[in-house]
Amino acid sequence: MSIVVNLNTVLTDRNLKSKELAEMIGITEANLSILKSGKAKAIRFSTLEAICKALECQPADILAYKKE
Amino acid sequence: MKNLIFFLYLLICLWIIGGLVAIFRSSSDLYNLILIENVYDNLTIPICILIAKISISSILTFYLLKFSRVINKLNLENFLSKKNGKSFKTIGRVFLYYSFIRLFINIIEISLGENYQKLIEYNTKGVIEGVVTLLITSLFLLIISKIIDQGYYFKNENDLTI
Repeated sequence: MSIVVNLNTVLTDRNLKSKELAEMIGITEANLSILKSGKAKAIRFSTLEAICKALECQPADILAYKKE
Repeated sequence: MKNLIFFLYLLICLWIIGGLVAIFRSSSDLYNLILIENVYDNLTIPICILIAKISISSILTFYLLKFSRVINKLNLENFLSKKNGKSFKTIGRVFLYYSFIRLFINIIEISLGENYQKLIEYNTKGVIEGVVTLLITSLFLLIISKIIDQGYYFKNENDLTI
């Protein structure tokens, strides 16, 4: 897929662990792992909003378009 | 839904019994033809037809038995699975092939004339009606299998929406 999820980079910058973020945004660690690995087919606006709120960032910091 | 599945299971069980009866009847017809009756001049074609009938009835009964197990173990919470789609597809195909072979056999049986039809108590109208019903059922099963496959795809997509 040409959409890349840069959640790992943002998490490292913020010194946060996946488990902590999952708890903060109210999704399971398994789902967060799917999102991080790029296996997710879609992301809800509510989830994106929660992530942006928790990490104090913009959607563009998490998602990027990469030409295949 | 559970009641519907129970009735379907019951009907399939009855169908299996019907299949076993058909095998038994065809076998007894074959026995009569070989050992008792000697009215028909050329016995090769009727014997071949009866052997074909016994074979396809056995195959159909075997697949019905397999399908009844699938129906019995059907997980309603996870109905849209690849396994269910495959089972419906297999049984749909078996019904389709069975009905075509039966139709082919019927055409041969009709062409053999009254002498043969008297020999095995043949009922043209009833048999053809049965084949058409089976043909419609098989097509419905194939459509249901496609719906299950598509449902499985959408379910997967939905599961991967975070």
